[in-house]
Amino acid sequence: MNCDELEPLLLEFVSGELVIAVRETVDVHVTGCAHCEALLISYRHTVRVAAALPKCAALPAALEARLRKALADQMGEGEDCR
Amino acid sequence: MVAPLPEKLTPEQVFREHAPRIYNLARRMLGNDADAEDVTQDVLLQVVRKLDTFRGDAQLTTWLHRVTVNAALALRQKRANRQKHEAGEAVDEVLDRAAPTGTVKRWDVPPDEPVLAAEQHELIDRAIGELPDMYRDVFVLADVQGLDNAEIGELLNLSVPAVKSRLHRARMRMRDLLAPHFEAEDAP
Ligand SMILES: [Zn+2]
Repeated sequence: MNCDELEPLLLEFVSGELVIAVRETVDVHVTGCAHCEALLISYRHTVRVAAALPKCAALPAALEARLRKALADQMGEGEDCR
Repeated sequence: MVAPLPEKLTPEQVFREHAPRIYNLARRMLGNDADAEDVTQDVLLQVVRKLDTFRGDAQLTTWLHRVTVNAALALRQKRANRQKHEAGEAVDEVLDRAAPTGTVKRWDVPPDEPVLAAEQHELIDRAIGELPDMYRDVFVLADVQGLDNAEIGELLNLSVPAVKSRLHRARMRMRDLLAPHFEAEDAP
């Protein structure tokens, strides 16, 4: 295996989808190749930092107010007879 | 054991628990606060209108993903039609080369799960914003939201191999964008 052959396998390597024989070939190459070792570490870290991003960070105050008003308007439809 | 009947959700619960999720997802997909706000309002009003039809949070979460993604894609499509899309193909060509162009330097990062500071969130979100749409969608849904490839394929109308291919290219591009910030000082 050379460096160009390794790169397209990274996705399946980090998600553990590769068959054992291929995974071992990747392991052997990475152990002896500083370039691919650095690539693998940085690829894996890229995946991890994305997973660590906040997924429900608080709404901006102005948006929260706007949404509450829209909700109230919708729920009040047909009930307010002024 | 018989599971208890799920309680009905109130609009207030949906608002508190789901509006931030909808907004965060829409904002990452669209890279634009105003558009994300419109999508959030749209989706929120849709879900509250249909609240009676949901039984339990899991079903609602799946549905919200679908509706949010669809609303974001539709809004983007509307914008693209207006602008007669510029530069679309050129970007694909550039990204078609997945391999890093320069030398790959060692990153100075912990071997386990990272804990990110607020300024790193910004940095990573900015990099996500630089991805072309077709790569950003799969990256956000797979690596930020944690959906599996089959779910993403359904949402974006792509085969699983197409999802994986785009995800790999997106990650390689993200890796390049983040490299200057994570490379070790003394990297060779
Ligand atoms: Zn190599």
